[in-house]
Amino acid sequence: MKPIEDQDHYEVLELPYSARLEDIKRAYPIVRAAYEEESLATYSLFGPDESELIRERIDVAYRVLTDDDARRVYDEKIGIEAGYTSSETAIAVDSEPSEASVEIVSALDALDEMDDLEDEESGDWDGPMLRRARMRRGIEIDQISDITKINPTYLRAIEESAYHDLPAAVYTRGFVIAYSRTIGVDPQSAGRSFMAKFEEARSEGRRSRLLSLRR
Amino acid sequence: MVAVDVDLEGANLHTCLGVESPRVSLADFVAQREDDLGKLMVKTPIDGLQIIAGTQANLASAQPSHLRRVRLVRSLRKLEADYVVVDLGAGTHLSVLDYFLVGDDGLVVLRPEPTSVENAYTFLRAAFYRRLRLAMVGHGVRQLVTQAMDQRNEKGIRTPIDLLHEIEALDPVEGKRFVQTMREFRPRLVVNEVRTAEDVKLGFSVSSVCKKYFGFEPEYLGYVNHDELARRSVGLRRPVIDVNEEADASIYLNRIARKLLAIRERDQQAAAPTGRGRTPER
Repeated sequence: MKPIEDQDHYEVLELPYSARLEDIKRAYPIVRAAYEEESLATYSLFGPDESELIRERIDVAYRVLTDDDARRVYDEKIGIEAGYTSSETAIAVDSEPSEASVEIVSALDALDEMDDLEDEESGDWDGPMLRRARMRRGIEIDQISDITKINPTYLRAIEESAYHDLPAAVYTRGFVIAYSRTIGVDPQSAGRSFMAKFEEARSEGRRSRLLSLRR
Repeated sequence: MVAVDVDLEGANLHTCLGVESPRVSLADFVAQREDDLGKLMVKTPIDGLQIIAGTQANLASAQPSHLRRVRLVRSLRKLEADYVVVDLGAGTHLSVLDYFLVGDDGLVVLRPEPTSVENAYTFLRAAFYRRLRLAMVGHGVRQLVTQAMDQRNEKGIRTPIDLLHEIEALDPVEGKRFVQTMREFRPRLVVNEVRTAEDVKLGFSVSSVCKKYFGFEPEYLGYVNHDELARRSVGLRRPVIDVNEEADASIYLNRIARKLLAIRERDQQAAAPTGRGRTPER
């Protein structure tokens, strides 16, 4: 166990020496988030200067380990064998068309790992279930709103299954599909099951209004 | 399964579980009216769950004496139940630390607020030092740990990592034991009242900061979404899972429980060759 100044780049990023490029890319935002200026996690332990130093160490580690040449030189320097195979998969990851400019893949896998996805497998989506999926993926409402241009008020109404606060079916369906796509949930299955509940709630609403009119 | 409320100065677990006024409680053990913890178990409205309440404590001295506490800690491990869940009070009193350390798993629940995070760190630090003191054998090393527990110690030991260097210099064997203890000290974290995805990440961040600052790494078990029903369920004096199994909070709590069981299985398998897992009590 070493103090941070003596830790090597791998220890700083909390990665094994065999880490692949995608592991490094995944770990970086998670580890770095802890030491951001506004981070709650450093409160009462690290002062602003210390946090900044750690951030710098994390950034350097990231720069070196994500540069194949620099990493090879570094590995030799600290005396470890390059047991990783990064380049091929890395290119595949990089060349994937990115749908949005906002970084939303950050804590994704770690969060996925933490929870089993049992309720997603059922495919019977409602608002709270969509919200749970979003939280697990580490995505904020505002990020979805930035990407989809849908008013956050509607996004929240979807998550609360507040069917009566949502616009006409044709719009709501579009919102649910865009929302699901953004957080990486099957838009067809989410759209279908959410809209079934939407229609049911709306028709019940209509029935009860009719009843009260008759009275 | 039995739930034990050891928060004798602020007992309320019985209320959360809908047991109005338990006829016997842990206070009977503390006051030496009863030596057998098992006889203090009371039924709850929930199937398969019993409680040892913390009510009716002596206002003059709610906490057990040192000897009685040691006895309580031992008895807790011997209770006849598949699972024993111990509800701790706040703060870092030695008794709280000992009850925490006696368990196979220790859960620390925090909320995404500076005050709560600060409390969590204070508690984790205290629990770790306590664990360490119990693990160290040599008198000199133990003294060093006690010194380090004072935040303004003369030696300038700020973190467990500083302390490790001091101990290694003093006695390399104890140094190894220290590292071993550090590795085995794996409290579990739960972030409660989560409202944003940012809050969800707090568990990872706290875990990472602990690793860098203290040298031990808590395991992030999961989070529970802010759910109005959780608050209302206290009003109803029923566990939220009992009120509505489909509620957000219930789903999260179920996940955490399942994860905890999976971890126990994993740890038991890892420790299988040496028989039973660790027993923190000494």
